[in-house]
Amino acid sequence: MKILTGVRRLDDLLGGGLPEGSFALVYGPPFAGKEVLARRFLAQSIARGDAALGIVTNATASEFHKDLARSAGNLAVPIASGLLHTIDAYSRVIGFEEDPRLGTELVDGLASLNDLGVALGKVHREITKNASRHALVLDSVSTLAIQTSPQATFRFLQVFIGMARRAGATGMLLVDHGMHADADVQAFKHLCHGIIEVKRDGDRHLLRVEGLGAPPEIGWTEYRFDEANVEITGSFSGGRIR
Amino acid sequence: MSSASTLIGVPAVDRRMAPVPKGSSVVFVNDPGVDATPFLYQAAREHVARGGPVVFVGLDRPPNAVAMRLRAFGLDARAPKLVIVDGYSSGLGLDFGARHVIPDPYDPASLAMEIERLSTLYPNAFLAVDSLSTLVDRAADPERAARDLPRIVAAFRRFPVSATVVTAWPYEGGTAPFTSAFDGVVQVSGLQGRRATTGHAFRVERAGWRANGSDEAVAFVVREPEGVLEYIPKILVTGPFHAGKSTFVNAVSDTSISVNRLDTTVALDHGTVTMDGFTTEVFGTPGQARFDPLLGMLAGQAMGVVLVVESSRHYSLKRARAMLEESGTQHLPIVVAANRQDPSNALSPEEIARELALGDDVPVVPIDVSDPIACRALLRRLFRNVRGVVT
Repeated sequence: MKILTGVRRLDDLLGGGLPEGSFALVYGPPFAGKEVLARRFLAQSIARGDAALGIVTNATASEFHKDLARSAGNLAVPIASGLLHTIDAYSRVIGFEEDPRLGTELVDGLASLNDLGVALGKVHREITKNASRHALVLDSVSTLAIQTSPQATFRFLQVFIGMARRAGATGMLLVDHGMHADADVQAFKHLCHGIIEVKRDGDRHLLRVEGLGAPPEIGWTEYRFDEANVEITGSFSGGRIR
Repeated sequence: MSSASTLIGVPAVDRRMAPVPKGSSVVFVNDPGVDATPFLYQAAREHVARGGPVVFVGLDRPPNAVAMRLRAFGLDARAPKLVIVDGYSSGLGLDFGARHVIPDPYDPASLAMEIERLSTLYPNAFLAVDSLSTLVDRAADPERAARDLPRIVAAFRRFPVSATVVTAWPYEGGTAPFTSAFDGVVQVSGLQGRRATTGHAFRVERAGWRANGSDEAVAFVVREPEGVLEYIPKILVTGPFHAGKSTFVNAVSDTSISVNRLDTTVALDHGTVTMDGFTTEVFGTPGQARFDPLLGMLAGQAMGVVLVVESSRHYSLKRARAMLEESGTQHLPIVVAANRQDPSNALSPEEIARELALGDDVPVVPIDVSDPIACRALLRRLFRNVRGVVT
């Protein structure tokens, strides 16, 4: 089964969406739309009545909800009905008193990656009561690696991805280009089922997919994005989309 | 208890480890995703309640977060006997103005030296360190971190009793290098459901002052402010009317009782069984639909399900599946007991599995539920599906 990403032509490229249970590394420079793509993915999951879990390490839960609402609309119903869950590993780090809100787990920080694992376990207990599958976004792996170490993050992700897949997750893990040694990025890629890579080329934004069911011969293609949407505008060289 | 011995401060643990010789250091080793820190926070509260000083070193979180957690477990951070040591902020280049700060918390030598200094200031204190995983995870080479641990544990032993937490991430050499220096080791595991962790258990793996460890796994819940509370988890035995549930409960249990009327269960069957060091209560449900409101009540805190079906009553399989949904236990580990395989019209285990469509991870076991040995073998199979119970 395929899980829609919320970006129509990306789904076409993937042969209908991400393979259920797969994890995609979303890799590229800051401000290239990775977060918007991830939010489209969560919004799409909510729209079809599946659950969605956002794990944020660089924004408070309320900031994340405000951004997600641009793609998903009013979040009151999905939160109240237990479809949208958030793990906020940021508010307490900056001393922000985030309101206790339904569906949100607050983590003290990222010094202990197990705190994040404990929060994930709690959320998965809730999600698996009502939903057979869910979309999961971790934004971002880069923050974890910087606040702990790449090796510790790798060990954490080994366990984390297994836990999440068992609970019915299909996921996107966001990694910033330029913040890690190549060997560390390769190690993170090794844990995933494929990569959605984005880059800037002058004024243009380009995207390509490796693995995840995409035809191997397809190269870079152009896309554009705003704060709510991502749209692939280019044609694929040698691919199934023109 | 002699003056040369003491307690950890968590009754459920002390019942299995105490008396603890003075100068002992205990590590709680948790599965990833399982929180062992409540053992530390509860112990801190208990030691303060008994009038003893407590030195609480927070390596994983800032002092205000440590204070918040202590408060959740009923200990006011302003308690005069409590000393919170900031082992977090200097690692991030921050300063929260704490009275005691570990200058370089990720350097084993610096940590050991500061612990030694604290032991001279508070020689009678209980020492809690939350947690040592941070030190290990920050190290580029975990093996080197493991080699440095004995010095840190030696500093811990200057206190009458000390405790810390380590997460069992998939380290190349396992967790033994991180636990071997400690006098006591308590494993803290998740009880795994089919898709998520459904409960927790601990096991005293080593208490160096005793001849042997224990194979007893103790299920527990954490409640705030009480802390770690042990409980006897349930196995739910459910299935359609006259499938053989009461017979199964009676056969498998060390002791059992049934509430019957006219040879059928009208309230519940109850038994207790101890097997592989794990004690559970076995609850059999009535099979008739009019008792369905009881199902959800009986299923509370269940860690697994035995679904008993009569193999020749094809029509009852739909009802069997509905009972799982009614009790909200589809997400728990399940073993199907395919009773009465003798009649010629009995469905095979494969056919029953196909009809029930519960998934490949749900075994269907042909059985005569009047055979106690077969019933215990089936229960053991269920235990093995609940990872964390049987090692």
